[in-house]
Amino acid sequence: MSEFLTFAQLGFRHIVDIEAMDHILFLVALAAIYRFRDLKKVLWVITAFTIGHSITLALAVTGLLTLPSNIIEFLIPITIVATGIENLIVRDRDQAMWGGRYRPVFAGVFGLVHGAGFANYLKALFVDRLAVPLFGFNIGIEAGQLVVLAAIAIAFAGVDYAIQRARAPGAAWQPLRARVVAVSSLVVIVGSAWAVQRSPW
Amino acid sequence: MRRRLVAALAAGLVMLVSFPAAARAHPLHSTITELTEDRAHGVVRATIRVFADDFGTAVTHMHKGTLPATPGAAWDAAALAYVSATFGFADRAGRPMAMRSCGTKRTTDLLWICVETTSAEGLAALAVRNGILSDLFDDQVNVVQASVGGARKSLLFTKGDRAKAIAG
Repeated sequence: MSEFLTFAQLGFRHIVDIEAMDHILFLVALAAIYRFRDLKKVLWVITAFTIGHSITLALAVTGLLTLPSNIIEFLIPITIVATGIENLIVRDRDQAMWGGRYRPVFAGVFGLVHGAGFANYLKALFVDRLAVPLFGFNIGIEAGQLVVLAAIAIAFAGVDYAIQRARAPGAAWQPLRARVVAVSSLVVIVGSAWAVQRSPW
Repeated sequence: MRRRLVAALAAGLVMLVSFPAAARAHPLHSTITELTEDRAHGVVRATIRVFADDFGTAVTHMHKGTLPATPGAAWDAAALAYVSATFGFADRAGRPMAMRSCGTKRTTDLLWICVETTSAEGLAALAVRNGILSDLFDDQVNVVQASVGGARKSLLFTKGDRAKAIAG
């Protein structure tokens, strides 16, 4: 197998693993407000997240940036909580700041934190021949994220179906808003608990 | 229906909050091994990079109750025994080859463990297996790399994998 494919597999396995629940929950929070027809918006957000974590991953692994792992571990659930809260607060995205188009920026900035989380482990292992392993690992992470997002989309379809069944005919509340509130509330509570558990203070 | 929905949400919440792995950052359970050959002396050498804390846990686990707490000859022997049990070379016929230590060094969180074997034919004639730390972690992924005949080769091992030909 080529070096590139080996490290791509390593990255892919790292993100689709159940132990990657913190990164998966962040993707759940990011995707919670979208429907199938919002695919373009989702791709913008995920691309921004990818750019963000690729930057810190590269900077940290090449030694240009040193990050305290206990702070990064704490900040990861904070990004989850912040995304969940933003989902809950902003009801009408067309009326929000920049017509709601700030979300990719949001994802990019939080991506910087998540990239630092990967980097602390990789930095120790990748001591020589950085370029190919790093690029391969990153591509594997992206492929893994797409698989996770596909699974999230299927899960949301199930949640939407359950909400639709529970909704009384003529009810005033919108099914999408109900999903956003349910999923984001869950995300905020879980992320807060993890933040407390990982608190460096 | 609404009750069932709320119950499902509550169950998901309890499961996620109590999820033990999420209390810490997602660790990368991986080792990287570089294989080199010294054709003049008929030696093939493996340098295994492994996180020191995980390796210490695995060695202690293997020798439960019989390992000295302080580093020394007994601990080194236990570490080599663990490496020999989980990592090794085989010849063309699939016979395991004897290994010996060629030293260990530590850099920050990482151990660099060197083991070597005698092979007149070099890397191209050998197979390698690598199950280091797979006894400890189900998601362990071990990468073995080598340059064979000018080409870069990479092998990836997960739990339960058998020996793989290096030149493959």
